[in-house]
Amino acid sequence: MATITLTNVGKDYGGGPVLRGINLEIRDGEFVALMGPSGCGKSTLLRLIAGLEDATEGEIRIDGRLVNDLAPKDRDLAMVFQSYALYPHMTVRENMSFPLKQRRLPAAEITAAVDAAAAKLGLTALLDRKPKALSGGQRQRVAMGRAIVRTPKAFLFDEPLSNLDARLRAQMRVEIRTLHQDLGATSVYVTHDQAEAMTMADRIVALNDGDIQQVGTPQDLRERPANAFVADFLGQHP
Amino acid sequence: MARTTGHVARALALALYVAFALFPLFWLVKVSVTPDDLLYGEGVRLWPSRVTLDHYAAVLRHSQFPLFFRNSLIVATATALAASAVASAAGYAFSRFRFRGKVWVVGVMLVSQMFPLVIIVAPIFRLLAPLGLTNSLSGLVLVYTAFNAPFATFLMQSFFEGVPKDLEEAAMMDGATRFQALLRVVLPLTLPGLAATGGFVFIAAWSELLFSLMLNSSAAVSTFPAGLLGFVSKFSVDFGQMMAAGVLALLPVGAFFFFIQRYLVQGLTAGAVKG
Ligand SMILES: Nc1ncnc2c1ncn2[C@@H]1O[C@H](COP(=O)(O)OP(=O)(O)OP(=O)(O)O)[C@@H](O)[C@H]1O
Ligand SMILES: [Mg+2]
Repeated sequence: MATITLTNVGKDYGGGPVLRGINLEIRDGEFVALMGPSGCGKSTLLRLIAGLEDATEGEIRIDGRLVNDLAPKDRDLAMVFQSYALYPHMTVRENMSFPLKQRRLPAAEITAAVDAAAAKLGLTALLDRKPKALSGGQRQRVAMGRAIVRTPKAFLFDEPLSNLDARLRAQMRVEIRTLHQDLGATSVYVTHDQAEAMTMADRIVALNDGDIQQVGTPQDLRERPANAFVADFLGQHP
Repeated sequence: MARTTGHVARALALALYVAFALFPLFWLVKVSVTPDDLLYGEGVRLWPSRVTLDHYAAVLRHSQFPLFFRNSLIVATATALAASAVASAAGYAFSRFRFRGKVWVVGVMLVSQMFPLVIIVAPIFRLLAPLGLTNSLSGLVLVYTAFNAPFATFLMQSFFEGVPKDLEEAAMMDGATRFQALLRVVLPLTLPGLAATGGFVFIAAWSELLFSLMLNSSAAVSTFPAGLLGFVSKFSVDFGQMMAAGVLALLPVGAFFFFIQRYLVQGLTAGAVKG
C-alpha cells in the first residue's frame, strides 16, 4: 500500500491550464474522493496519478518515489474506468487474468487468484462469458475484479458507478467501501455526485475549475465549508 | 400485407442488383466454355448449344499461364502483407498520437493518390532500373506497397479509431507497454479491418496491369494481367483461352474472400464499453 503525494501539480492540454497548483497528500490506506462539477479536472487529476497523462508542472510521488517519468505499467496502480474498458475479445476469466499474465505469474497462481477474486465479487458463474453477454452491473463487477485480482499500490476509480441504476449504485457503494476496508488499500475515487463522496470517502477533495477548494472529512465539509462553492455543491440534491 | 410487399420489393431489388453485378462474370464463364466455331455464330445466346473445356486444358497445358499465376500470387500476397504491416503502424500513429507535421504528412499522402500513374511510370522505371529492380517480382512488390500504403493507412486509421482508447489505457494500467497493448488488445479487435485492408490491397496488386507491363518485360516475371495480353495477337484474339485464364484468375480472389468473410461481418467490439 502507498501514499501518493502531489506537489504543485499543473496540467495544460494546450488550451490553457486545466489544473493549477495542486498540492495533495493521500495517506496510506485512505479512501479519498475527488469531487466537483463536470469539467473541473477530476479525471485529469486521476489520469496524472495513473500516468496516462504527463503533468505540465509539479511533482507526483508514490511512496516518496518521483514517478513523473514512469510509465503507467511501472507505477503499479489499478484503475476502474467509467466505461469499464473490458477487453471484448476475452472471457471474464481472461480479462481478470490479464494483469497477472502481464506480470508473468505461474498459471496455477493466476487461476487461484482469479477464482478468489471472482468468488469475492459473485462472478464465479460468469467466468466463461464474454463481456457482451453481461449486464451493465456485471460488467462493472468484472472491471472491479480485474483491479482487485492483484495487490496494487493503490486503486483509482473514475466514476465507476455512473452507468448503473440508482438501486445498484447504492448497493455497489457499500460493496466498494467494504472491499476497501477488507483490502486496506489506498483508493482515489472520482465522482461528481456529492452523496457518493460524502458516504464513501474518508476525505474529500473538492475541486472547481482546476483548483482545490477544500480538503477534509465529509464532516469538515458539511460543518465548515471553506467557501460558497463547497457549501453550494453540497447543498445540491441530485 | 404492406410488410410482405416491402420484403418482396427489397428482395427483387437485391436480385436485380446481384444479376447486374454478376452478369459480366457469367459472360466470362460462358465464353470460356464456348467452342471456337460457335463463338461468333452464337454470340448473343445466353448459353452455347455445345460446351467444351478445351480452352482450360490449353491454358493449363500449353500456355505460360501457370507461371504468370504463380508470379501474381507471390506479388499480391507479399504486397498485401507488407502494405498491411505499414498501414497498421502508420494508421495507429495517426489515430492515437499528436505530432508535429501530422497535417502535412496526411496531406502529402492524399496528394500522392491524385497522380495518374501513367505520368510516373517512366521516373519509377529510371529509379528501379539501376537497382536491378526491373524485371523482378521484388520491384513490383515495392512499387505496389508504396502505392497502396496511403489508402490502406487511412483505412486502418478509421478502424483503430473504432477501438475505444480506454481499452489500451486499461491494458497499460494492467502492466502492458503501449506496444503490448497494441498487440494483445487493439490489433485483435481490428482483425476484421486488417482482413479487409489486406483483401483490398491483395486485389489491387492482383489486377494491376500498367506497372507490371512497363517494369517487367521478361515472361519469367510477368504477372497474369500482363500475361493475359499474350492471348491478343496481331491478327486475332483468342477469346476462349483468355476468358478461361480470367476465370482461373478469379479463383484465388474468391477463395480469399471466402476465408475472410467471417472477419468482415463480425462486430468484435460489441460489449467493449457500457451498453
Ligand atoms: N485530452 C484532452 N485534450 C484537451 N483538453 C482536455 C482533454 N481532456 C480533458 N480536457 C479538458 O480538461 C478539462 C477537465 O477535464 P476532465 O475530463 O478532467 O473533467 P472531469 O472533471 O473529469 O469532468 P466529468 O465529470 O465531465 O468527467 C475540461 O475542460 C476538458 O475539456
Ligand atoms: Mg471525468
